[in-house]
Formats: sequence, C-alpha cells, structure tokens
Amino acid sequence: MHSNSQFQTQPQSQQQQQQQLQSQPAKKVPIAQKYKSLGFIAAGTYGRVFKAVRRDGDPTIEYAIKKFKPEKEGEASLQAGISQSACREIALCRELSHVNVVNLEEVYVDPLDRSIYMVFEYAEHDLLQILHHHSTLHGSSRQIPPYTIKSLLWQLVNGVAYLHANWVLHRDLKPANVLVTSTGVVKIGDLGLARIFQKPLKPLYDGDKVVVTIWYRAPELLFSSKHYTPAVDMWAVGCIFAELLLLRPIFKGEEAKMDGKKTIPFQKDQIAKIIDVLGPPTVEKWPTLSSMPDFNQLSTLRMDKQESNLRNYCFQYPYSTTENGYLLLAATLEYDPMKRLTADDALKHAYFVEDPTPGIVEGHGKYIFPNGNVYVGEFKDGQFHGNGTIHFTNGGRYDASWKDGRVIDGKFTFKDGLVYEPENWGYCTPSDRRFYHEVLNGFNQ
Amino acid sequence: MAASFWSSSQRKTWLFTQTQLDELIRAQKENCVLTSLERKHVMIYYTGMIISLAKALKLRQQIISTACVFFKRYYLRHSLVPQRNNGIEPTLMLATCVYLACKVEEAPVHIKSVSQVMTSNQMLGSQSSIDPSKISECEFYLMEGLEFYMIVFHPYNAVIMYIKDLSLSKQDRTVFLQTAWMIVNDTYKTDLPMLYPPHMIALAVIYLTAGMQENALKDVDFAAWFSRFNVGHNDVLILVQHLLDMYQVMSLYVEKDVSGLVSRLRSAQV
Repeated sequence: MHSNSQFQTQPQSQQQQQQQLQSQPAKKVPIAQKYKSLGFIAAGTYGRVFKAVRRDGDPTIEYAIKKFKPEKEGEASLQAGISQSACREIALCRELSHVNVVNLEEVYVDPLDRSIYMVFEYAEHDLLQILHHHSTLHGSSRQIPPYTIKSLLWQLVNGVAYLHANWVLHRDLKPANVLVTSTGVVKIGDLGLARIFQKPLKPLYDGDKVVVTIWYRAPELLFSSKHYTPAVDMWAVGCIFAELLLLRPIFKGEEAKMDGKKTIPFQKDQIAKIIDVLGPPTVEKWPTLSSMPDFNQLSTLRMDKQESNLRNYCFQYPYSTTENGYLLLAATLEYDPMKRLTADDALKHAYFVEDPTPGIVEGHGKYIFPNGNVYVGEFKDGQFHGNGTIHFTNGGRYDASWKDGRVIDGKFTFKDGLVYEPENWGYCTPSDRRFYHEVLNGFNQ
Repeated sequence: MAASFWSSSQRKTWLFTQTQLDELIRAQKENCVLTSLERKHVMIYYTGMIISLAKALKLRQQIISTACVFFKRYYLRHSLVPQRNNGIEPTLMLATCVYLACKVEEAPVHIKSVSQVMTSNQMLGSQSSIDPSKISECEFYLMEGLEFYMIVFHPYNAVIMYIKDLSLSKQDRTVFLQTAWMIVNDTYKTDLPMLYPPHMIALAVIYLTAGMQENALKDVDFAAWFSRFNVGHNDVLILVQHLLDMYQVMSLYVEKDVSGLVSRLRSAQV
C-alpha cells in the first residue's frame, strides 16, 4: 500500500487503512520513486530531515527532504489539519526565490498518513556547525577569518533584506537556521515561524505569543511588546554577527520556563545578560520603552554598570573585524527598534563598502549585486560600460547601455517575455513601480 | 516573491486567458450535465455556502475571498461531479477551502468549529455530517490541487489606493468605497480572479462605481487617469463588460433551481 517506506520513521497505524478520499487526477509519482534517501541528517520538533538524490537525475546534486510529522500522535493525527508552521513554510517558500534563501524544489504530501515532505536544495553546513568547528580549534585558526565573517554576514543580511522587502518576517534567525553550501553560499532556512506582516488581519502577537529563540530575541519582545517589526530579525542578525566574532552566544541567558499557568514568564536572566554587555536600556535611549507591558520589571534587575561594554566583546579577537564592523554591530544591537539598523541600510554600511568588499564576483564581466541579481557585461574600474544585461533573481532581465556606470537606454523584460520600457513602468501598481525604481536606482549608484 | 504580484505564483501560474479557462472547464465531466450558465450558477451557489460558513465563523472578508479563489482554482482541474466511492463532495471541499484559507491568512480556526458549523447550520441538507478527519484529509488534496501555491493577491488594497488618488469629498469617498468593495466581493462568485490581475479588477470596479455615482466624478477624464497607470481605456472597458455580464448571470440565479442542478450533478456520478 505504501511505497514511501524509506522515508518512514514510524509504523502506520491501522487507522490509516480506513476508506480514503481519492484525488481525481492521476496521482503524482510517490516520493520514494523519484528520490533515493541517503540517510537521516537531522531531527527536530517538526519531524526529520533526510539527505537524498534523484533516481533519474544527476547523482551529485543532493537534496534535503524535510518530513513533517503529524501534529498529534496516532488517531488524533487524523483529526488535525496540517500545522500552521508547515502551512507557512510551504506557502512562503513556494513564492520566495532568492540566492540567500533556501530554495524549495517541490512538495509531496501523503494524505493517508498525513505526512508532508518538502524537498529543498541541499546545503552542506550551517553556522552552528561552523561556529562549533572553530570553537574546538586552538591558536590562530580558532577565530573565523575576518573576510569569511564579512562574507557570511553580508549574505545573511542580503537574504534578510529580500525577506523584508517582501513583507516577510523570519522570526527565528539563529546560527542553526543559517545554512551554508559547500561553496560558501548562505541560505536562510526554516521559515516555519515566518509570516507576512503586510496589513495583518490580526495583531502579530495574537498569532504567536513567543517568537525567536531566547538568545536571539530582541529587547522589545522580551518586554512583551504587542507590536513588533522587521527590527526583531535585525537584532538576531546582530547576535549572530557577535557570535561569529566571539565563537559563543553573546547573550546566553537562562530561559524562564512557562509555569503551570499559561502566563508567559518575564525573561529576566536574558535581559540581565544583554544589560551586562550593552548597559541598561533607558527612556532617553529608547523613548517607547516605558510603554512596554513589562517595563516595570526593569526595576527588579541589578544595574551596576551604565556603560556599554560592546567594544570589548567585539574585539575579543583583535583582528576579527574593523572599527566599521564594530559600528555595524552596535547599530544592529540597538535597544530602540525604531533606531535599529534596517537590512537595507546594513547592506550599504561602511563595513561592507570598505576593502575587502563582499558579494562582488569580478572578472569575466560578471557582477553579483547585493540583492542577488547578476549583471553580465562590460565591467571595469568598478563601473558598467557598453551593453550589458542584469538577470533578476525573479527571472526578469534588464537590457541596457551603460556609460560610467549609468544607464543611457534600457528596457525591462519579464520572465514571460512582456517588455516594459522604463516610461511604461506605469503599468505596474505604484508600489511595484517604486520597487523597480528602487532596484534600478540601486544599480545606478 | 510574496509581496510583489509581478513575481507571484498567482501571476505566473494562476492567471489564464478566457480561451484557456474555457478549455479547462470544458474538459470536466460536469460539462455533460450542465450548460455554461448552469455551471456559473452552481459556482454562485457554492460561493454562497462559503460565505454562510465564513459568516458563522465570523471571518474577515479577505479570508472569504481567499477561500473562494482556492475553491475555483481546485475545480478548474477537477470535476464538480463526485466520483463513486470518492469522498470529495464540493461541500467538503468548500469547508476545507475555508479552513485552509484561515491558516494562510494567519487567522486559524479550529477544524472542529468548521465541521460543527457545516453540520449544525444544515448547510449539507439531507447529507450526513462532515467529520474533522475528512476535512484534514481533504486539505491534502486541496493543497495538491493548488500545486501548493497558497498566497493569493486581492484587489482590496488597490481599490483603496486608487480611490485615494481620485478627488472625492470625504463623504463621497466612503459611499464610493463601500460600493466598490461590494462589487469586488461579487467578483469572487465568478472566474474573474483567474482572468485578471487584482489591480485591473480594481480599476474596472472603480470605473463601474463611478458610472453608478455620476455626480461625484463627472469631470474626471478616465482615459487619461488609466493611462497614468499605463492601462488602456479599452482593456478596462472589456473588464467592465465582464462585470456587467456577471450581474446578468446573477440576476438569472434562482436558488431553488440551482439546488436541482446540484442534485443532478450528484446523480451524474460515474
């Protein structure tokens, strides 16, 4: 009856023998007929991940197949729909397409045992693994090379900027969720907590009371703010940057567990750890602090130090970053979410502009933009010349003649062949128009 | 990309020409027992059930609209005639569409609530109840039928944005928005969301609304206004004709007769 046995992790219950609904069109080939499992690589609360290759494809191209386990055990699993987390991850990954966000190849479902398989591109490593590897080394190879840190961080911010431009909050950025391919390309993974934040029908807090793993959780979340923004992801980016420099979590607080009642505990130790490094948050630095639901809890904390100690942490390994690196770190670990650096601004930060610059693949007329789009054409002295084409990550292309890095003449072609001359961009809705303008203005700089 | 219609799955996968759409519908079994008009009426009937279910669950309009789009997308490639031994009745499918739409729009409801409303509100007529386990199984077939593309773009935001661009008094604007909003809601009874991008529907709805409320906007040169968004006046007119056709189809709708059509579909099982 079942041919997905090699991806099975538990025997089927008899319940699954019940009369089933049948889908009308010819059924898709079962997953096990298309992919061959090379073994189990990870497990989590969501289910398990297998490494696999296609039976009919290139055996060197590997995939990571995430198998969600049903929400509930046994018979109860048949009464429950798919989890909100699986639904989000499928819905979002199906739309998103960016070099620094893990690509979803396809989805398989098995209505009989209610299992869901998501087939992702395979990434060999993740930042947690890389951090662990370095922390076990001694001597000069212990610290991660400064250029590697910069490149990893830039790609991470680049992926986050793409998510935010598309109104997607990740809400669970941490080293384990930042994947890295064997060629060093960062892929943001695990969008199970991610959601669209454009015009929410209900406040974000109503949907999920607790978001982001404790050590990477932004101060506004720790003070139980009902409203939050993409800045929560940027705090996590700052924590990850610091961790790449320090080889250990910068704010390693003890999580206060939920007690018997369903009240959400105040994370006192986590805030104390942040204060140890950054000094206490104040209303002067963060004007809306006093309106946070858990503001009163601040007075229960010890406040010996007033000054930020972040610089000492940042330069624990003296050569791991520069003064600009420190400034970027400080701007992402900013208490006030309104003042915290956005992903877009982070990409333009002096740290990424100074040598050695990340993300630029020069030579042979190829240039990769900070947003993942690729330019093919004449490129010298850091500027575009003559005729060249930008291939957008979304499948579109921009053909243009350039002089001194500026567009003289050009047209934009969508993936399906529709052509828009710049003056015809009015066809897009105003927000799309602004988007394309922004993208191209970015190129013209 | 999730927030740009131009790179969305809706634009790439779920927009069709009228010819493509007609061909897909003609390929379905119900074509043997229903005329084109009758099929449209059956769709209005099921949309009405989606709305009743959603109202009982106190859902927001955007969720209702997403559920309607799911339902229509699914039946573009599946027959409304239930196969023998096949548990997927359109009533089960529409309940599942509402259940999934709530999750996708980040306002989940309990599967048991959906099942209870379907059963207690006598929406199923003489049919038996809908068990949560049927909905949870059907959810998998629905997701497969949607090819796992679940993010749907709607004209509502565009309507608000375009209306702001028109010079209307505050009072006129409120009435205008209400009327336009209702016309947009009506488009979910039809295939229009699979034929036109949301911003085009928004513009046509505004044009039709303006025609109904002549005084407020009699000085506006709409041809020039559309060209500002680089949309041709003619393209909008064609779409307005679709909207008028939609109201023509709706005016011929008699619920009692359509119940007869639904039983005819059921007895046409193969």
